[in-house]
Parts: sequence; C-alpha cells; structure tokens
Amino acid sequence: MTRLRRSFFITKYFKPWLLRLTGRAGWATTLHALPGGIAPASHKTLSLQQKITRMPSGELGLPAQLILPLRQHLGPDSVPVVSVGDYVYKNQLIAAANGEKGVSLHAPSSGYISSINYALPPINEAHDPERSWQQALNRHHNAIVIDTDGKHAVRPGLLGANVDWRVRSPDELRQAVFDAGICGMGGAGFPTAIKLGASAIKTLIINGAECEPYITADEALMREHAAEVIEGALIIQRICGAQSCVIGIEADKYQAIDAIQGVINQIMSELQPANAGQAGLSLTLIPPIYPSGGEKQLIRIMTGIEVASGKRPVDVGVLCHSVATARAVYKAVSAGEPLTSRITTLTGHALKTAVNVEVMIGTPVSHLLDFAGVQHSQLQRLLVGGPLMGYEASDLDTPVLKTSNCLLAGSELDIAPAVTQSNPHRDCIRCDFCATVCPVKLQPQTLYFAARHQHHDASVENGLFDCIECGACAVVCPSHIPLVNYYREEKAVIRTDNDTAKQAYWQSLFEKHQQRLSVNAIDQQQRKLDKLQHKLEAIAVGEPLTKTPVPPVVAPTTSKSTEQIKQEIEAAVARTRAKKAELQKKNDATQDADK
Amino acid sequence: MISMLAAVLVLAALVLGFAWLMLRAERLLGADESQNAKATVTLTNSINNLLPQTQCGQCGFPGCRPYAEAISRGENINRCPPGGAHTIKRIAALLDLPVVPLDTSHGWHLPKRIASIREHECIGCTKCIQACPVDAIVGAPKRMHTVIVADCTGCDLCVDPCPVDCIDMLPLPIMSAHASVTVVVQK
Ligand code: SF4
Ligand code: SF4
Ligand code: SF4
Ligand code: SF4
Repeated sequence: MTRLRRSFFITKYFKPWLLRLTGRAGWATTLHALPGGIAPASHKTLSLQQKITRMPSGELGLPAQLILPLRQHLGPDSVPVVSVGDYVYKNQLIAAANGEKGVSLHAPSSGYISSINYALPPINEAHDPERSWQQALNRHHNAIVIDTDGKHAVRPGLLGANVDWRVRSPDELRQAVFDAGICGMGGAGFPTAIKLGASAIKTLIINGAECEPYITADEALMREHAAEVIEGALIIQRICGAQSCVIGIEADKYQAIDAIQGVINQIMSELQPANAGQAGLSLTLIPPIYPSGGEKQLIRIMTGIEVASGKRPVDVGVLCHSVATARAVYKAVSAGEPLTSRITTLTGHALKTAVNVEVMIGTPVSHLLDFAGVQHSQLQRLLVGGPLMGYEASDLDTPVLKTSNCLLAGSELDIAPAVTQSNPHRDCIRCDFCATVCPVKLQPQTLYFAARHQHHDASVENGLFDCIECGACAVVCPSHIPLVNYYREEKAVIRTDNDTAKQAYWQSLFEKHQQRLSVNAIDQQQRKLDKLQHKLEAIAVGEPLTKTPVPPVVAPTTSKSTEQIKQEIEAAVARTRAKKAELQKKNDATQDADK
Repeated sequence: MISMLAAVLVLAALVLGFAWLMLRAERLLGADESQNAKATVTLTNSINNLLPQTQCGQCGFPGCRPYAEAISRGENINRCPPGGAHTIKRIAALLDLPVVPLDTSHGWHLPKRIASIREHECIGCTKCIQACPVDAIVGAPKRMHTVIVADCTGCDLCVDPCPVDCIDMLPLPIMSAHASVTVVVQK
C-alpha cells in the first residue's frame, strides 16, 4: 500500500513540480517536456563517496584472467587473430573487426592467450534488437581468455602518431575510431564508427543524463575527466560535421555540471571573441527524470524533435553519443589507445564499499566483488546494469564488457525479489499508472494483455517494438507485474515467428530429407531386382540357387520344380519393377512440384 | 397454335444453346486443367510459406507441405499447434476464410524449444536420426549423437523414440536468460 501511494505521489505530483521548478530556475527555458517518466529514489550518493579507483592499483590488482567475448557489440562476432599460447602486449589487436559493421578487440593487459573459444553463458542479449533466432540459438558466446602476467607491458611503438586531431581529416579520424574498436558504451553497443559515418548531421548531443538509479559511472567520469570528455565531443563534432554540439546533463549532478561548464568556459575564452559564437559548444541541464537519458527521449527533451517510430536519430539530423564514448574517442584519437578499459559503478547494499572503478574490459565480476567486499549473506540478486534495465548476471565469471556501466550487488534494501512461480504477481487492475509514466506514450497494460495472450498482431499494432524497455511501467505497477519481461519475451517470439529465412531453411532441409527418403526407397527396390536377376541367371546356367549352404531345417527347395521357381522369381521381378517405377514417378512428381 | 409452336421452338433452341454452351464450358475448363494444377501449386506454396515449418506432424500430415496441400483441398486451417492463432489468422486472410480457434485436439501452442541430447547418456541407437524430419541429428551407430542446434525445428519427434530418454526439449535461451526485470524498492 505504501508503495502504491508513493508511486502515485511521485508520478502525479512530484514530476510536474520538478518540471516547474527547473523551468523557473531558468535551467530549462528551451526544453521540451518528456511525456511520462518517473523519479525513483536515485541511490547515487552510495557510489560517489570516493574518487574513481583505477586498475591496476594498490588494492585493485589485475585479475589472473581476462575473459573477452568476441561479441560485445551489435553486429557480427570479431575474428580472432591470435592463437593459443601467443604472448600479447597491452593494446595489441587480438580479434579483428568482421567487415565494416564489426568492432575490433584489443588486449587490455599483457599475457599469454589460454583460449580463443572459451564458452560463456549468454550475455548482453536482451538489448540486442537485431538478434535473429539463429543467433539466439548459439547458446554460448565465444571468448578469448588472456592469462595476465602482471607486467602490463605495452609493445613499444604501438601508440598512434601524435598529430593534432584538428589538422587530420574527418575520414582519418573515423578510421582511428574504427581501429580502436569503440562501440556505444551507454547501452546497446552500436559500433561508433558506423554511427559517425552518417551524413547531414546538424546537431550532436553528448548524453550525460545518466538517469537510471544507482549508476554513477558517467557522473564520476565527468567530474574527474571533464576535459577529455569535451575534447572527445569536439573530435566527434569534427568527424560528423555537426554545427552545434550540446552536452545534456541532469540538473542534479552539480559537480559534473561545474566541471563540464569550467572546461567549456575555458575553451570559449581561448577562442577569438569573433569565433566564440561559431564553436557551437554548449551545456544544457535537463530535468532529472527517468528515462530522460534514453536516446530518443533525450533528443525530444533537448530539441523537441520526436524521432518517428522505426526511424533513427540520424534521419532527423541528430547524432547522440554518451560521454563515455566521447572519452573513448578522445583516447583513441589523441593517444592511439584502443578501448580496453571503462568506468563501471560497483554498487548496492551487499557491498562494503560502493565505488566507481576504471577496470580492464574482460575482468571477471567476481574479482570486482572481492575488491568491493561483497557480503554474500546479504546478496540477493546480482545485476549487470542498473536496477531497471539491467539483466541478471548468469554467473560470477561474467566479464565486464564494453557496455557494462554498472554492477549492482543488490541486498533486499535495493531490489525486490524476482517474480517467480512461488512469488507470483497480481492481476492487472487497469489502474493506468503504467500508461501515465510511459515515455513513449504506449499503453503498457494493453501490451501486457496482448503479450500474455500471444496476440502478436495486437502487440505490434500497439507499438511493442517502440517500447524502449525502460521499466518505468513495471516500477509503478501496483500489481508488481514484471511488465518488461512480458515485452521482451513477446518481442523474441514475434521475431522468431517472422524469421522467414529460418523457415525457408527448414523447408529446404525437409525437402532434402524427403528427397533422400524417396531415393533410398528406389535404391532398395533396385537392389531387390538385382538379387532376383542374379537368381534367374543362376537357374539359367543350372547353378545352385544360393552360395551359402541351406540350413537343413529349412524345407528343401526341391519340393518345387525349377520351372515353378523361375516363374515365382519372374513374378517377383515384375512386382518389384512396378513398385520401383511407381516410387520413381512419385519422386519425379514431387520434384516437379517443388520447381 | 403457331405462337405455341414458336414458343416451344424458341425454348428448345434456348435449351440446346445452353446445353452446347455448358458442354463447351466443360471442354474449356478441361483444357485448362494443367493451368488449374499450376494455380493449386502456387496456392499450396503460399499456404506453405505461412506455416511454421516445424515439420512436427501434429496436424496429422507428414510435414508442413502436405498440410498445405490438404488445406488447398479444403482441410481445416486450425490444425497446426506450433503456428497457433497467429498462423490461423494469416491463412484465413489469405484464403478469405473466417478466423477459427486452434483445434487443440492436435496439441497446444507452446513456446519454441529445441532438442538437446544428454550426450553421456546416449547409447548410439540412431533411432532419433530416423525420426528427425530435417536431419538435424548427427551420429553413427553405437557412437554418441548430438543435435545440430541451428537446424533443429523443435518438433519433438525425436523424444519418444529414444529408448533411454536422453533427449530434452529446452526452451529457447532468450526466453529464460533475462526474464527478470527488477523493481526498485522505493525507500
Ligand atoms: S499493468 Fe499494472 S500499472 Fe498498468 S494498468 Fe495494470 S495494474 Fe495498473
Ligand atoms: S518499458 Fe516500454 S511500455 Fe513500459 S514504460 Fe518503458 S517504454 Fe513504456
Ligand atoms: S502441425 Fe507441425 S507439421 Fe503440421 S503444419 Fe504445423 S508445424 Fe507443420
Ligand atoms: S532434433 Fe528432434 S526436435 Fe529437433 S528437428 Fe530433429 S526431431 Fe525435431
């Protein structure tokens, strides 16, 4: 009951009040309201007490093994270019991008390769909208495993040329981003170089609105590395040719705002006053409402443009990158450093110290939990990602990926127990709370009924594929329905049903199978014919009918005359011939029909 | 009298005329038989493309194409459990028939699954290979068998023949791996 009242309060009263406040304070004069949204308790201070801990340092040593899945991004798996037993240096390429749409993978630390096809439980799957069923069936992701030697040795001469990026051409810069193996670090992991290849971009938005509770990786990054973020944003702006570059930060991240504003002011003051207007670099504060950091949501808040269903932001001339991606681009271009580490939030009440860490990609989760002092008695659920959009870690060997922004070791203070068969949810009471908070203006309860009853057409008509799986509806639902679960499953089922390529493949397999069976049947008749023919020939030359001795118990064949036997065999030949011809005809007919 | 005769004659002429027309029509249609057959094949193909291609035989026909052929001859459209309501709707739209509920005497519509052989228990009897309609199982006599995951349609046909019951039908991983969105406790 308290839960219900609280969510009601938050959605109906707190949000409008907040919007009015932000508007009055002059932060948001040009902002556009986001439909729906919630303001859940943020729990962000938990992990912001300390500065970022870098790996390797004092207590946070290198893990003994780094596990690097070949697919941490949207697109085809990378192709290993090392073999077992090879020694690799830090930053060395270990798996090449598979074509233009791929992403390359580099060694985060030095050591020996101990496996290039380590099987990993499925990870990072729910957020991959382009997964076909075929991929879903590959139950394991292959990973490269490096046994680290602790030297962290960088191969001499591997760093990129130290040329100022301002004099390099956009294409060259984009190639540098591609070579560094960068993919979107905020969520889905879309390859950054592809996104940067879009033309006619007017506005570049750098997403610093980290709106999901508990996660503070981007906030810590902006506090401590503001200059690198801004530099990266300017590089991206040069590559895509946008006229303006706007950094959007939630208005309650005071220190991050100060840091970013400081760097912007400095850059502006360095410019000639005449050029100051042209740099087009600015900071916009946005109201702290979940999910204002969703790509389409942020664009809507900051520009008022609603990216239509089925369209991408680049179609309306807007490009959106997260601050973490901007920093990775900066490192790739300025120092030739590939993406081998990222800032991840370790948080949750099951940890002794919640903290942001800059860790090597591929670090096993267990290593980080040990560092943060996990209390296993308290640990209820371990999530990779935040409490609303994250997924449950399948085991403690799960590595940190290029896209993992948070590791939430939740005690019962943090997360409600999962809805299971023994802990079922209640029925929908059609209160419409969910519809009030949906940022895409969907009707979650309608989607829920369509999904439950497998009315796939109704699901699609009601915009299932526009759902961003933000989970806002599930938070406010007084019946505790895990609505997003239903949507994810329904999406998977629909994708499966519509996988016509797969169905055509099965059809061809079935046809080949039928073909094989009918050819086999014809062959069988032919073998029979051959045998009978053999017998007839034997009779003709007066040989005994069989070369193997006839067992004495069998009635002697002499009771029939040779003539009789010959007649019987000839009848059998005729029967077999007819059967074979019939089978052959059937086979030809099906083949004709298939054509 | 003459008018009566005229009437009879006109009627007779009409009858003969129509009879001739009908005969002719029959012959015309007869000449089009091959064309008709072609149309049926195309229809069968379009129906077949709507079926899920699981090849499970639950509809009572040995595969999806045979059922498609049967539908084009007028069989009920609600016999395919793997296809479920969705497929019935599509076929109904194609053939301009009323949408009917699934005939559950042929089975219930279940989520997609794939077969998985517990390999250490397999005795290599090859019975599952013979049952599989899409040749998705590999193995040799008295050797371990395994399912080619990418080829398996989840038809369930290999489960029954296995004498040691070592084949499981597993739900698709995507269904189970992430079915857990969590909810913030609002403190
Ligand atoms: S799904 Fe939940 S929030 Fe939505 S109408 Fe039903 S009970 Fe209310
Ligand atoms: S999860 Fe989907 S339906 Fe629910 S609020 Fe978010 S966008 Fe709307
Ligand atoms: S019941 Fe099985 S064999 Fe029959 S049409 Fe459906 S999937 Fe194909
Ligand atoms: S492996 Fe089993 S379930 Fe899969 S297609 Fe073959 S017979 Fe059907």
